[in-house]
Amino acid sequence: MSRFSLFLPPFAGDYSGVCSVLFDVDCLVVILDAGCCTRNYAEYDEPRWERKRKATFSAQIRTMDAIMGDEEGIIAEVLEAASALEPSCIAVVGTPVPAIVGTDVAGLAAEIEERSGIATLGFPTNGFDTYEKGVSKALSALAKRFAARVDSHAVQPCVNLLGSTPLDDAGFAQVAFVERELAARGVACAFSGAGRYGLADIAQMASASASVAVSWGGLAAARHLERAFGVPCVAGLPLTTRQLDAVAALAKDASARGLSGVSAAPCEAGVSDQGADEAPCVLLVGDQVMMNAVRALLHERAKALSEDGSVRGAGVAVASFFSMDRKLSASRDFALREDGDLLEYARRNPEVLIVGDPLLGELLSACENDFAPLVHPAVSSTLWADAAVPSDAAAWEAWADGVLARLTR
Amino acid sequence: MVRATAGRVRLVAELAYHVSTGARKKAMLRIPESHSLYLCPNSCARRYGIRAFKSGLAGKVSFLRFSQADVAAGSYEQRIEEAIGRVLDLVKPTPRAITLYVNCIDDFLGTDDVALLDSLARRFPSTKFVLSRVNPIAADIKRNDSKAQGIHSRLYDLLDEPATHDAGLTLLGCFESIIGLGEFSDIARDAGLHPLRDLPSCATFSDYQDLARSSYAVSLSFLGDAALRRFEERFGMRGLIWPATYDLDEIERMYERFGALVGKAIDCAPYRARAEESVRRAVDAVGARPVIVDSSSSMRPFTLACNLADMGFNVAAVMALHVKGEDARAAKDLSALHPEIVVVKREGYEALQGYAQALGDTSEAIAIGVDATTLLCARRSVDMYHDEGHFGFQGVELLMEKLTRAAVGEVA
Repeated sequence: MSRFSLFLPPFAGDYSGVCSVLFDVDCLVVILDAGCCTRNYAEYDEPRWERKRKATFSAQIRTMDAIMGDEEGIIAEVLEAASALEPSCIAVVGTPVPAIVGTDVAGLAAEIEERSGIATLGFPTNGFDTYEKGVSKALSALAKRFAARVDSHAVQPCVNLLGSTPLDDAGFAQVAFVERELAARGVACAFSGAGRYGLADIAQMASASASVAVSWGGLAAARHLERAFGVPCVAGLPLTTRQLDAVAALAKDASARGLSGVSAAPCEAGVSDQGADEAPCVLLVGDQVMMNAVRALLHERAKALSEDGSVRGAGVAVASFFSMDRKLSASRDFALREDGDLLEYARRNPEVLIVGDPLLGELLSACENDFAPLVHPAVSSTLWADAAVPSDAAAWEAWADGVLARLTR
Repeated sequence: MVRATAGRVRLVAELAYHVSTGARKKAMLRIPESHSLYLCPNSCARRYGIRAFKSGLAGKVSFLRFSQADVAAGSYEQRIEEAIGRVLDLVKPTPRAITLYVNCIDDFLGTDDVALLDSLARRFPSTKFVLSRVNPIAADIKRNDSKAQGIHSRLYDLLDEPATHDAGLTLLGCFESIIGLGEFSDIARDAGLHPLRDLPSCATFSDYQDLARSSYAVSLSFLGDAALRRFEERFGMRGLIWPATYDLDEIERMYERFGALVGKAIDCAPYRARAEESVRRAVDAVGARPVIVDSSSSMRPFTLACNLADMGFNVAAVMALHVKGEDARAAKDLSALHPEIVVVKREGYEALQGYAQALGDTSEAIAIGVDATTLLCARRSVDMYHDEGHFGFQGVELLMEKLTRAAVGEVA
């Protein structure tokens, strides 16, 4: 059902999620739009656009193109561009009009691949859905199409960090921190989304010791790699020393044992029903997987601090305007349809401290709830591009301690 | 296959690289004391949502994000009425008017906007409604009543017939007010025209209604031309189409026509003299350095290129990537009179490969407009967007100052 937003802006669209994943992949991206969808993506959802020129183009379709279903012009343009730019692969990305007129995006991609000889992915994104579904589609497509089975897995432990894009992590500060910390623990990164990737690099996804889905958008690809190649996966951005140690141990264990029998989920604490018997005192609003990691962090810090009795409880719920995975949901977690849902929750639960994008803080400004900001670019674009976001274990712990201290007041 | 050409309809899809104007604060032209409601898929209105926050309009813009299911079932029209009910319940003070915006997909859904507006008027009788289409997809079939003209014109649809007219002058077709800028305001005041009015300057719904009280109207760009015709028909105003130009003779002729319109003799010689002096200084400063004009800088980039070439600048190229206004005649004149000036009409993969083949070495060129500046990685550039803030002799002076500063390496 359609969603009404009185205050919040529309969120980053699914095609932005696809394009964001493909930004640093050697891929010619063609957005099947009239021009505005490309503008939405480039100007509002892609902070890298200002710094680097990327082969992402608008097809500039017009009414007659759409009505007549004449795709020959688009194909000819793509072939000409592919001939000039020689990309490793091509992606055709759908938007609302192709979705409405029923454009066969996969068929169009197949036709381009047939005629160009270049691997071409078709994404039937529609602009009705939000970014995380596009991230998921793009990562899954890359994993399914290009990740290659190898005889033996990596000798050196390495991980895939799946689902990191500037729509969740504006400057890749989080993923850079995780990469750095894992490297210090002797674990390399096979794929993270932050950096330049050719198809050979993407093939290496299948050889990783483990996958970490750092956002909801990384779950499907991580699960595919687990099913297809036996790469164990966990969900959650490791934020604390304990979580980082657990991911490193998993990767090393999998690497040493050839993956067989490895099963671990170091961030599962965030999904547990710890504190479920008491009303939540904190509501985390954002990407489900990311917020589960924050919940685990809060639990960990509450436990550490509670030994001296300085906190009153650890009831933390997660809510999201975006997709949620039932397996990763605790009993008090819930989905938000529109901004009115959050307002209603806040008014009914004025004692709950709410964590989320700063725009949510503005939405809730007339409510009594305490609010702690955590920038989510898929909501607020670049409005808080300069805001400080915790980007190492010490900063996250300090942030969590600050939130917990506010609960005690 | 027909490629994009200035003033002609493009017949096939053509890949285009997007040059970001993200750093530029974009004005959101709107009716004061109104509320805007975007009716479209989630992604389509994202830029308007973020811009609203950047422009201090948060809370004055809402969104009904259609689901595919509602679109497929046709129930989205019912959702529109529900959403308007919620806006009127929740937004305080209650908006005087609601502007509805639909996007590209509506061209394929075929919403009956007349029936919709009738229905809304019956259900919400104390609120005025207007519906605008933001549909760049229709650029191929609506060239003569383009989307921009449509959106701009509809902003004036809620004006009532005034009881009386005054000696005012209403300016149309601009996103930034030129009132108080340069000689035009002084000349208009001296000619007895008072007050000068335009939509960007309106603070209240009453100010907005006063736009219809003027006796005269001037359209400053093609965006305002359709509105001007409506003002003439609906309110009996006397109007003049006066798009930005940088030709000093043409500006003088336009002042003569303006004087004839208002029945006054206008002496603009002092202003022209200052502008001529600024041209001399800029031509000296820029010298033989190449100048490249793009279609983001001016609604009529070919006209601007011709004007600059006639002044004595070494115009090397026109990057006519998105020509908004009617500029076909100047394009023809340019190719006839200045065949040495290269015309670039594509921004496809060339945006990544560079334009060296077409333009040669542009490292010392002055780029006028963000497209040329970005695509050529120009070190010397003139910041100018769709002529906004440039009008009459003042516009020439301002552009010449910017060119002079760019010649010495300042971002102007």
